[in-house]
Amino acid sequence: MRYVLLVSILLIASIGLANASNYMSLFNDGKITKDELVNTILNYMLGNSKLSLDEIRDASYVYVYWNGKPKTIVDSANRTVTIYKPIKRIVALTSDAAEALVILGARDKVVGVSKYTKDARKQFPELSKLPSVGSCFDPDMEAVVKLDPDVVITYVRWPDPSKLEEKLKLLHTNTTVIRLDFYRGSTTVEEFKKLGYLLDKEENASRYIEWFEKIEDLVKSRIPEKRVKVYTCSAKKPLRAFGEGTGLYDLSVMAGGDNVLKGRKGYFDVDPEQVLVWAPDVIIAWSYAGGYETDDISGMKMEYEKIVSTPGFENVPAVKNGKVYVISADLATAPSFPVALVTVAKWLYSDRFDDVNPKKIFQEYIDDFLHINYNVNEHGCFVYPTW
Amino acid sequence: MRLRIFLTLLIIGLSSSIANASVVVKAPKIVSPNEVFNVSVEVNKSPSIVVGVIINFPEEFKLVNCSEPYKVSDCRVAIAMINDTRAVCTFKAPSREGTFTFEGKWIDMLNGGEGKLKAMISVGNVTATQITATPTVTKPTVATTTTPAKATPTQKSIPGFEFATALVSVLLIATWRWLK
Repeated sequence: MRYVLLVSILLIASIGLANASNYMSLFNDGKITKDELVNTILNYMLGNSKLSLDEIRDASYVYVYWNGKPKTIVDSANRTVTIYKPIKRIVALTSDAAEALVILGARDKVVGVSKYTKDARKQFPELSKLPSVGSCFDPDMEAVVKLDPDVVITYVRWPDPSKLEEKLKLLHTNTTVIRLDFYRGSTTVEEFKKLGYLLDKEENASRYIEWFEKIEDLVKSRIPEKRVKVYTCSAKKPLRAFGEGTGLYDLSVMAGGDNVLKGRKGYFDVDPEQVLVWAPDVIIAWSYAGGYETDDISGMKMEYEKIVSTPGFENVPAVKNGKVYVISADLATAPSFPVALVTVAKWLYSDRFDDVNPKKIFQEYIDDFLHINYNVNEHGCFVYPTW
Repeated sequence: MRLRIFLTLLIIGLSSSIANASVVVKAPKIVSPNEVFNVSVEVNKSPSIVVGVIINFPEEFKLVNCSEPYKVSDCRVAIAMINDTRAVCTFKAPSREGTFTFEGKWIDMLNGGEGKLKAMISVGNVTATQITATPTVTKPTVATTTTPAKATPTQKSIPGFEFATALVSVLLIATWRWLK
């Protein structure tokens, strides 16, 4: 049965590929010219076209709105991605990409989501109703191909290309993979610019970027010369450090912290003795326990207690001085990053951010960008100790 | 006195408004035998236009040319309108009497609308009288859009206009027969 399905998918894909090559021939000289479009339309009207009406509509759109040229970006995996027709069907393999698409006003283009987005009914009341395609760690390729997406958006790190790009290539699909994280503050603005450009949603991207940079500038303007030392880690495993290139590391540095993990990349384990040597003033821990979907803070509280009671941590300045904080992944490593930024900046330099209310900024973000009926005063668990 | 033979070109032009576009077909109502006359397709209210038109014309008529890019196959002419609001096609009328039909359709390649065209042609002997042709306007066929566009008020159909046109035609023929 699985074999029959695979053969069917390959057959459909090969037909699609033949049609695609007819469409792609319009770009032989780099762009769709007026003469090419005219001939295509005249042949279609006379019933002699190899292109479908949808393809001619795509070509017309490209001619009028893209000056006949394809759109090209360099994604966050440093790969050149070229789009030859308007993107109409998107699989968002990560919740961060799904959130970005909502912000850009492209929710209607999403046809498939990750299992995590599917479970996030409060945060994604509409998108959670769409079919699941597994997770970014282990995508269900049959489900992806069945949805016939124009593009799949996923993280730079996950999944491995052997689980996505190479399989799509084997199946001869026309699907393009775009790797954009949307969880790292240091790349978020560029990623919004790029996706906004590809989707013709530049105006919405600009609005978000303006908000992002306003908060970023506010934080930058208040960071003192003398920085506090910060250690970033997993809340579940406090000895699992989050080094350079991780969203939490970016967050701690952009909020004005002097991260003790500087020079060490990615996720790795450390000894408690090493943490004691580093002597961080503040510990920021990243948690899956909270988020939009739960109102129960006990999970984050347990993680907090685990950190402060980690053997060897009792002499770490952050623990001794009560400067340990747990922050939800939904807030810290997502397009809501600016809210996390003011939150962490306030943890690091509370006297300089007395007048700033992160919770209020978060509510504005939810109302203005996510457009969901969600009151952060009543729902969700995003930080511990609580706001 | 030999009465003038005329062609009454009654185009029931399906005009439409889809998203930002509105398409209208216009043609003269009276032409002389062998007269060269114009049929125009006009697109309104759209900042960008990509429209395909196909017209099947009777074999008695000869297509002279069109102002926009076109291609002819048998008695069918396809026209492509790209960022031009008006396409004019010139036809030469036949000399013989009769009733003829022009039929066709248009497709808005940008906004997804489409509509049909139909033209009734009558041939007869009358005194020289001009009838002003006015296109009939009806609702378009709904189709998917590819362009996010601001909605514009939809052009509504004009109920009873077909009846009024038919009434004018009947009165005209009665007058002609009375003069004869």
